[in-house]
Amino acid sequence: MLEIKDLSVKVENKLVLDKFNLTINDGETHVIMGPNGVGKSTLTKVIMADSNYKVINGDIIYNGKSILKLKTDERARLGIFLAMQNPLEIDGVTNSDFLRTALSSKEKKNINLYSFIKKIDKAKEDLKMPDEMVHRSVNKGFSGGEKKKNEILQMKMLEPEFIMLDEIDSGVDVDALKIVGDNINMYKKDHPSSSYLIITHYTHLLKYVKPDLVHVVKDGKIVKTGDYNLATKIENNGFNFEKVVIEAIDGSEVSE
Amino acid sequence: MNRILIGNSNNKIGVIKQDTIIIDIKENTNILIKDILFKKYLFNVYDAKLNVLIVNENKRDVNYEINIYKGNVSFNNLSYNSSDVKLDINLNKENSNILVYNSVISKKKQKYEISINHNKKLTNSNIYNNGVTKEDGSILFNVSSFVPKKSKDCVVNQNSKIITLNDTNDNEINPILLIDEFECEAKHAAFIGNFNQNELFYLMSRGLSKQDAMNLLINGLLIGTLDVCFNEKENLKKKLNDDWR
Repeated sequence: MLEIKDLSVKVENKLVLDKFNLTINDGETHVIMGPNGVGKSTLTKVIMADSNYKVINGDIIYNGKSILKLKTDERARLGIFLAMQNPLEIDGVTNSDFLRTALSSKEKKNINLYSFIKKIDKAKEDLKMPDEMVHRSVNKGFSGGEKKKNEILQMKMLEPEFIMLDEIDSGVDVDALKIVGDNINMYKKDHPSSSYLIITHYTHLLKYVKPDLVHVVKDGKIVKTGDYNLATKIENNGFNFEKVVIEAIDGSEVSE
Repeated sequence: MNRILIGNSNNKIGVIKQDTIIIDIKENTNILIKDILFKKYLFNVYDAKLNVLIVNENKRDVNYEINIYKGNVSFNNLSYNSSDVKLDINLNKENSNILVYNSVISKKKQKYEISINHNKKLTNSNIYNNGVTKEDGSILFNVSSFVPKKSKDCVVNQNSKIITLNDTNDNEINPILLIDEFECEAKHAAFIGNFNQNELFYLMSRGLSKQDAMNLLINGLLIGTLDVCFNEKENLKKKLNDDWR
């Protein structure tokens, strides 16, 4: 589905990703962990073509084609979705206007109002969101958890194929996290070929959404790849990455 | 609840004196003004709720005066390509509150003079000006709030925003707060510039083209913020899409 080749990215003359490589196949779930400021969010923003980030080397290949020259909206219409770490509040623009325009752009025709309402009602119910949120301004006055739920709602409405979840579990309470997790699983079941790139600091969400591979990023590179156990090891060892990495190189297990 | 239409119906309310119409409000009322026929609109509100929506496309200058003797007034003005506007608000009794949403689309030079007099204690004013400039447009917002001594516990809020879609540098916001009373809460905010890049990125990351995203933001800024009912907003959005772009 997505292949990142030797990607180097600069922001304000600082190298944040250095010859980064990652391949995500159809139906796979990858997790990226790492301390703050190592380029985890940068990766998602670059895949989504944020103009603040400059690609100086490498390529991003999506379903066999390079998407490096495409703009943000063109990439989104190909089925790439980014649930943001800090969803913005947009005063005056209602959720329903926003989603209807987004869906119309994606399907290149005006969407049927009745089917739109049916779909959003279902998504709203699945996420246990209040009825009136549809006519409220995008994320305006939403709590941290509601904002994250709203990102999942948008995902369910737009039905992307490649989904990036940037710290979707931060600021979300236990019950809401379960709802978010359940909804991701539900979506996975309905769209078996969809792939995920999850960025997180904790294993909380991973208890619900089982990852295929866990990557540790440091200094703009993947320094270690493992399975779910790697994530638990990291959580138990705190962010003492030296230890994890050295022991990983030695091939020995991390003591708990 | 009274619903009054002025402009495209035969309803005539209030007293007309030369170029001025005087409207006395003594019970909760909604007023929709679709055509500016007079030079001056004078509203006197006596212990009532009033919601006014004015859709102004006229070229002539217009003057609004609102005197509140207790009550809540929500004054919504959407003007496109119109002339200079003067708005005077007098809060003459305790618990007189005014909320102004002033949305402006400017294709030529336009001036807005808004003044609010907090003549009694416990009065609130919230003024939101939102403008977009296109072609040869430029906007001047002069907003003055007066709180004299003894007008205790007043809330004064001014918020003005101009989105520049042309290359004018004549846009100007002057927030003037003349406050002579210590026990008063006052704030103001002013912004002139373009749409926030992060907002555009957020919308575009959901598949909206840049133009669609901008249209959505303009609609949101000018109409989404108004304090009018849902159906009215939909009508205004449709109108805005049809004959302005």
